[in-house]
Amino acid sequence: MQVKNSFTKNSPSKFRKLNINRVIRQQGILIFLIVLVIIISFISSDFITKDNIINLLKQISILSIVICGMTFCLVGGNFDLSVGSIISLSGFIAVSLLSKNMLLGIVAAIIAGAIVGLVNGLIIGKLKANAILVTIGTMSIVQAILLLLSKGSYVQVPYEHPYRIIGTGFVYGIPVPVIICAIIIIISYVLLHHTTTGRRIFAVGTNRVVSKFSGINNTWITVFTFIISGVLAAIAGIILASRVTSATPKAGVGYEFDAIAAAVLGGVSLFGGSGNVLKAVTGALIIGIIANSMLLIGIPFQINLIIKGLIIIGVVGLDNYFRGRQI
Amino acid sequence: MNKKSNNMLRAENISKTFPGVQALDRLSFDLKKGEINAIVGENGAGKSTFIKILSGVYPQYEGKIYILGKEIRIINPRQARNIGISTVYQELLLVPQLTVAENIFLNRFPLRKNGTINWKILFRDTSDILNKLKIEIKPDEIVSDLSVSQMQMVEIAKAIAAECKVLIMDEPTSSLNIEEVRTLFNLILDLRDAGVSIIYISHRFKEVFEIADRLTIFRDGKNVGTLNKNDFSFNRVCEMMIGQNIRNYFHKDKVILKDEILSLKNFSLKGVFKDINLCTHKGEIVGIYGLLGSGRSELLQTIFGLYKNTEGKIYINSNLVKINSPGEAISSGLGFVPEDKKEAGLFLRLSIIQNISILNLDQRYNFFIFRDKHKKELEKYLDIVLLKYPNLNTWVQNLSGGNQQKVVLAKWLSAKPKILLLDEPSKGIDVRTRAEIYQLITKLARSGMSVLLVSSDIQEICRICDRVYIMHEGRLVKELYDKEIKEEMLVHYSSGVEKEEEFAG
Amino acid sequence: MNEVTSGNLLFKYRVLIILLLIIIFFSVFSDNFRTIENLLNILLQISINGIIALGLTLVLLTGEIDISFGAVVALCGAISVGFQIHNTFLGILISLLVGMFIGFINGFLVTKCKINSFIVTFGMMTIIRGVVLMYTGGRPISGVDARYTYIAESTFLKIPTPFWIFFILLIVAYFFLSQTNFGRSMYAIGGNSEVAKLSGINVIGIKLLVFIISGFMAALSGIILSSRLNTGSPAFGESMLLPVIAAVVLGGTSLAGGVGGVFQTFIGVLILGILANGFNLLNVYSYLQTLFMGIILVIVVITDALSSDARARRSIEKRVFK
Repeated sequence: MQVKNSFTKNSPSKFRKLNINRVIRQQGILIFLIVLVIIISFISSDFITKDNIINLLKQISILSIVICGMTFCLVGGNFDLSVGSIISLSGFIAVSLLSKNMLLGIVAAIIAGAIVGLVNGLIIGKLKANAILVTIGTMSIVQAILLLLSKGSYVQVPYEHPYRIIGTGFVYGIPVPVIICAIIIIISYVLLHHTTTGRRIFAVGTNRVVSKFSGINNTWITVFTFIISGVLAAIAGIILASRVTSATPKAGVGYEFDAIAAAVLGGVSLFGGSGNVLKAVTGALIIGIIANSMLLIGIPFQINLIIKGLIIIGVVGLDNYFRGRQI
Repeated sequence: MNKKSNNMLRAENISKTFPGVQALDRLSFDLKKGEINAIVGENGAGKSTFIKILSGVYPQYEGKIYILGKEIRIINPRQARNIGISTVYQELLLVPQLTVAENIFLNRFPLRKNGTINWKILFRDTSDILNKLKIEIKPDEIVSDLSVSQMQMVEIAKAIAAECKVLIMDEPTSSLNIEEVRTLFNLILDLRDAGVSIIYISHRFKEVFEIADRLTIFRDGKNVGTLNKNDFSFNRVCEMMIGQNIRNYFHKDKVILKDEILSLKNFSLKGVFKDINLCTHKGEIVGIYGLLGSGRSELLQTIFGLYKNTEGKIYINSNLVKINSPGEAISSGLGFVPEDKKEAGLFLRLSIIQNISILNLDQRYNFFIFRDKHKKELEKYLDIVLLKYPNLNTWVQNLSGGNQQKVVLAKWLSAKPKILLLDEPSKGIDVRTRAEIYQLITKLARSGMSVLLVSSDIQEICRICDRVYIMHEGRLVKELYDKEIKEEMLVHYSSGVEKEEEFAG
Repeated sequence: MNEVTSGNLLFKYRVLIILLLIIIFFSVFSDNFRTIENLLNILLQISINGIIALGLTLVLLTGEIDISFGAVVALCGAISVGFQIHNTFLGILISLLVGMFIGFINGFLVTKCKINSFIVTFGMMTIIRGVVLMYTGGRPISGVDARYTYIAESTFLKIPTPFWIFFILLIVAYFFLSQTNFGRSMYAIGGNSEVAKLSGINVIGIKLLVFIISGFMAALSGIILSSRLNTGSPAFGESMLLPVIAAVVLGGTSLAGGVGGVFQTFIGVLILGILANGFNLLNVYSYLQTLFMGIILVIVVITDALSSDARARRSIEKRVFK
C-alpha cells in the first residue's frame, strides 16, 4: 500500500460521499495548473509552442532542483534559508576552478554545498537549535566568505568553454538543465517516498518525540536532509553559473524564499511530516508559467510581482478553504 | 413544567453528532445543589463531549440545559464561565511562559482605576487560593518550571478561583500523588459543603466511590442510570457500563520461572536513581511500583536508552549490552510502551497502518519500498490486541484512548521484542480495555516474553505482576513475590520504610 | 515590580554580556568609538531598524510572523516623498495609513481566512514590491520639500529625533505588554492559543491589531529612512529582512511565540547596531560585518540550545526530588 503522506488522504469515511471535494483537496494544485494553462493559451497563442515550452522548462529547472532539496528539509520539519548563498558559492567555486580542471571545480562546488548542509544539519539536529535562525546565520556566513573570496567582483566563464553546455546545451533537442532537473526529480521522489530513510524523514517531521521513542535517529535524519538540500542547491548553482556564463556573489539571492513559496504552493506543510516532491515541483511550474506568460503577454515585471504574490496567497487560501483548516 | 427546586443543573435530551459518530444520544442528566455527581463510562461513552458542551466548547447541540430552573443556551466558554460553570480539563491548559498568578487569572486580572494590572492584589488573591489548596508554590513562579503534578494543582486552582456554582473535573488526579489527592478531596468536600455542585469524571473507581454522592453511568452516548451512595458496587457499575459482569474477565495464573533475560547491575542515573539491581525472567511479569518522584519511569526510560546511565551495566541473555539510544535498545530486543501515548507513543495524524509499520523498517525492507508487502502481517498484530478498527487508514487520533493504547501495543509487538517495557499501560483507559490489555500482557508473557511494568496503580500491580520491586526516592527498597504482593505492603514500602520488622504483617 | 516576561534569565544576561563585551572591544580598538558624536550616531542608526523590530516583536509574541516590513518601508517611504508635491503633511499621514492598511490586510488574511502568516506576508511582500516599482517607475524619487529632512536630522536635547520616537514607542510598548490585560493576553496567545481562546481572550482582534501596528511601524521607519536624503527608493528595505529578524531573535524573542519582550529586542538591535558602527569605524569591510553577524547569531543560537538542553536535564532531577 502506497503511503501517501498528505493530511487529506487519511480522513474519516464520511467524506467518501463528497468525492468532488476530496478530489479538489488532494489534487487542487494540479487542477489549478491545468486551468491556468488553458486560460493562458487562450490569451496568448505563443504559449503552447515548442519553443516557449522548452524555454519555460529551462527557466524553472534551476528552481525545481532547489525545491527538491527544500522539500526534504520541510518534510523533516525544518527550513533551509541558506540555499541562496550555497547557490552563489557553488557557482563561484565551479567557475573559479575552470582554469584548472572543470570536473574538479564541479566536485568541489558540490562538496562545499554538502559541507554547509552538514554544518546546518549538525547544529539543528544535534543541538536542536531553531532552523530558521541557524540557516540565516549560515547564510550570512557563507555570503560573507564568498564576498571575501570574490572581493566583490564576478568571475567569467571563458568563451566556448565546455562548461557552458551544462546551462545552455541541448541533448536531442532538450536543454541540458531540464534533463539534469528531471533526473534529480526522479531520484528525489524515489528517495523521499519509496525508501526506508524517506519514511523516517516523514516520521521525524511529524513528531520528533515519537520518532525518537520508535528508535529513529533524529540527528542523522536531520543531517541527511540538510546535506541533500545543500548538495542540490550546489548543483543548481553550477547550472545557473553556466547559464549566465558568470558567477556573481549574489547569484542565488532570493531563491530560498521562492523555493519555500513554491513548495508550499505544492502542498508541502510548513510544519513538517507532509509533502510530495512531485507536487512541490508543480508549485515551481506554476510560478514559472505565470512569469513566462507575463512575458509573452507583455505585462511589465512589476505587475508580474503583484500577480505572483496574489496567486501565492490565493492558492494557499483556497487550499485551506477546501481542507477546512489552517496549514 | 415541574421545576425541581434543588436542581443546580439539568440537561434534557442532549444530542450531538460528529462526522460519522453519534457522540450523545438524547442524554439527560441532573445535578443537585451541593452534591458531587460522578460520571463514569468507557472511552467513547460521551463523557468528554458532554462536559465540553456544558463548558461552552461545543456550542452546537440539540436539547435543553437548565441552570437553577432557567433554560440557558451555552454558546462559548466565556459565557459558561460567567454563568458559573468552571471546568478542569484532563489536558493541562496553561500558558507555560506566564506566572502561576497570571494563568489563574488570565483575562480576569484585578485592575487599578487606570486600567493597569494591580499586581499586589493579583498575587495576594493567588496566594489565598494556593494556600487553600495547600500548594507550596509561589504565585510568581513561571509555570514551565513546575512539575506535572504541580501544574495539575494550578489547573484546579484556576477553576476554583473562578468562584463557580458548578465545578466540572475531568480526571483531575491522573498526575497527583497520594497526599495531593487527599488534599484535593478535602477541598472538594469543602466546596460541596459550601454549596458548590461538582461533576467528577474518573476511571478510578476507588476514588469515585469515596468522593461521590451519586454516580451516573454513561454508555454509548446515553445515561443508563444513576446510583446513590449506598448502592455503589463495582459489579453493578461495571454491569451498567458495559452491559456485562467483568469480574471473571481476568484470571492470573502462576508462572513457571525460566531463564533470566534482563539483568541490571548497579544501574544508576545521577540525581535520579542509584544502584538498581534487578532482573526479569522469560515468561515473567515484573512490576516496579513507587510514588511519583521515586524514579521508576526514568528507570524504564534509561533502560530503553532515552537517557544515558551514569553507572552500572545492563545484561540481556547474560550478554553485556551498551544501550545509548532507543535504536540500540530496539536492536537489543527491547520494546517500550511509553506513558503518554499521545505525546510519545503515536503519530496522531497518521493512520493506524502507518503507525504500526514504523518499526523495524530495515528488517522488513531492503532500503527501497515499492509495495507494502507486509500489510497482512502487520494486520495480524492488530488482531492479537483485539483492536476493532473501521479502516486501517483511520487517523489514530480519531480512536478512543483504549484503542490508541492497543495500537501502540500492536506496534511494539510487531518488533517481536524479548523484553517489553510498559510505562503506566492503563492510565486513562476504561475498564474493559484495561482487562483486555491485562489478558494480553499475561498471554505474551506466558508465551516467552519478559515484561517489565511500571505503574502507579496499586490494584494493577497486584493483579497482574508475578514479582514486584518497590522504589523509593531513587532506590530499590524491597522485592515482593507472589502472595507477598498486597496493597498494604506496596503502600508501606513505597513510603520509605525500610525495615521489615516494623511491618507487623 | 519586576518585568514579568518569560524566558530564561540566564539567557537574558548572556545577551547583556555580549553587549558589554562588544562595547569594551570597540572602545579599546577605536578612539572614535568612544565619542559622544559617535554614540549619537549609533542612536540614529539603530532607530530605523529598531522601530520595525518593535512591531515585529509584537507579531512574534502572538505566534505569527511578518516578513513584509521591508517592502512596506520602501512603499511608504516613497509615498511620503512623492506626496510632497501636493502636501507634505498629508503625504506623511497617507503613508502611515497605507502601512496600517497593509497590516490590516495581512491580519485579516491570517485571522479570518486562516492562512499561514509566513505565506501571507511573503505574498504581500511580493505584491508591495511590485506596487513600489510601479509607483516609483523603478527609480529613486526625490522630494521637493526640503523641510522633510527635518524628521531624520533634527535633534532634541542633542539626541536625534528618530531615537526619541523609537524610545517613546519602546516605553509605551513595554508598558502595555507588562502592565495591561491586553499585553499579558498577547503572551498567552503566543504561548498557548487554546487557553487564550478558552479564557475568552479576543485572539482574532488582538492579532489583527498587532499586524496593523507592525504595518504602522514599518511605515514610520520608511518615513524616517526616506527623510535622510529626501529620497524614496524601491530598493529600500531589501537588505533589512535579516538584520531585523536577527536583532529580535538575538534579543530573546522566540519565533514560536509567547517568549520575549521589547527591551530584549532593544538590546538585540543595540548589539547589531554597535557591531555595524564599530566595524565601520575600524574600516572593516561590510562583508566581514555580515560574517561576524552570522557567527554571533549562530553562537547565540547554539548556546541557547545547549542551555535549554541542560535545563531539560536538570528538570528531570527536579521532578524526582520535588
